[in-house]
Amino acid sequence: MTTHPFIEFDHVTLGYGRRTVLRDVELSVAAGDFLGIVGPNGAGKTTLLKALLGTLTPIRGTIRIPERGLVFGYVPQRQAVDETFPLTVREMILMGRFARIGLFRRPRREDHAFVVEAAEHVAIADLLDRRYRTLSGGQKQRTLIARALAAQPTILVLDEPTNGMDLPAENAIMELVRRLHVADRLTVVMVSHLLNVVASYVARLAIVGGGRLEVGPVATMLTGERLTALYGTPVRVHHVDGAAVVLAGGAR
Amino acid sequence: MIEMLAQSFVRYAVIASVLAGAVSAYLGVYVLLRRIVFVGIAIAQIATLGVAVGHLLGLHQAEAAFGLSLVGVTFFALHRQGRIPRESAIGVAYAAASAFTILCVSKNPFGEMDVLSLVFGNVLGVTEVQLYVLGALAAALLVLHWCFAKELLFTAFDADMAATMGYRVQAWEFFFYLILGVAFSLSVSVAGVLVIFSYLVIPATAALVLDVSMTMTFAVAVFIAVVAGASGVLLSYQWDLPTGPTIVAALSALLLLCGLVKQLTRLRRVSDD
Repeated sequence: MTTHPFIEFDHVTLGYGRRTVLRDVELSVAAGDFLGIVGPNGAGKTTLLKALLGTLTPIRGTIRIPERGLVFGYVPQRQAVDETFPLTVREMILMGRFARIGLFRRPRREDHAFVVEAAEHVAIADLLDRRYRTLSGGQKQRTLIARALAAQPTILVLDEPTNGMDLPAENAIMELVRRLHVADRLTVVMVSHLLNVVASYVARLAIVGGGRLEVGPVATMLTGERLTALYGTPVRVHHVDGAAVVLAGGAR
Repeated sequence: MIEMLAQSFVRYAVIASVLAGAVSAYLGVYVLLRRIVFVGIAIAQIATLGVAVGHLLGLHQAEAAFGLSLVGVTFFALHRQGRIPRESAIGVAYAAASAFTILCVSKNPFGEMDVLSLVFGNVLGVTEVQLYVLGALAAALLVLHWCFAKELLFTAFDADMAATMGYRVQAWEFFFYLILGVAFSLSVSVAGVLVIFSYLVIPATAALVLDVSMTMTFAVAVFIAVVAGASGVLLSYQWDLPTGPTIVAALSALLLLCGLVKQLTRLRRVSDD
């Protein structure tokens, strides 16, 4: 697997107007990476994500994208999707093709074929003509992932993909993301506030907190001391069958 | 009805009402889905102020309306949520435009009539030239829809994803507002601000109430506006009622009908299950 960088943050300061959210960010996302971004609410996860996606310009520093034609497959938070629009799953996924179709052009047969392929890939081919708003949480998440895949992305970027899901749905979505990473060799960046979920799947962890970003392998990053300092509450990390389990508070 | 349509001013009124309705109803679907109903009414009111200013200063009314609309459109497209909420800016623009419209016509000996005509329009007095202009506007919108429907829909539906895919979301928003500004400038002097606003909101609401597909939402909204526009003019002539309010009443009745149809369909489905 190649490891050339797709994106490099070089001493980047991020914020809005005069308000600085993150300082001196050093981060690199390479081909084949599976990076998890975690941190308390309001710490700057979304800000970092926006900068990564190129929709937020840094206050200072440089974000380099060495390779031309980098395509993001962005999966927004399910709750942020406006369900007033009477869109079907097929129409939703087709949106992922729009940038490739271009201006003044209508979707072609191959674009519709990509939609079906993306839907089959995430096991929702039977839902293509259903209205998006009538789906379950897990099915909606699969639709959003299929839309991102329809763009034929270089990097899949997921924002809180398992938020508000029950355990089986959460597990199914994370297994799907793992499959996309392993079998399809997709580079994946995932933001989540669910430490246990992220820790079980990603290879590297970026922890956002106190206006800083620290990045490293999961085993190095997930320590009780680091998380206790970050969250301001006692946090312990145990290992069960090789997986890290994070416990907060006084529970034993 | 054939007798009524034999008179050219009634025929012109029906065509003008149908064209202004179709254009506004089509745009109304985007306005509702983008949740910018109050931006819509504020731009319509600013266009009305333009008509009043044009009337007062002896300028071309549609040009004056477009000039002022352009200022409003630019302001709304560039204004971002900050310390002052966007709703406040919209409210101030609407209130100021309404007040200045009335001030512009207050010194006119026919002031009250002018105000009524600006609010409800004067569709029975529409000229052949105005018809051509409205026809051209409707044709231009069809072309724009053919060319840019997917971009307008995508940037309205998911601005964040569109931005990550390289779309200039703010530019598309400005483009949409500009279309609104042009459409209002050309149609508000024909149909009046209240009627245009009703065309903008009621047919799109009715289509969303029916819960049809995205493409059908546009089609149903335009169809409702066309039916209400034509029937409103004819009924007002038949029963000697003011035309603008009759069109709005027809739109409201059709919305009610759509709500009833939806409820009945739902009840029938429940009883079938």
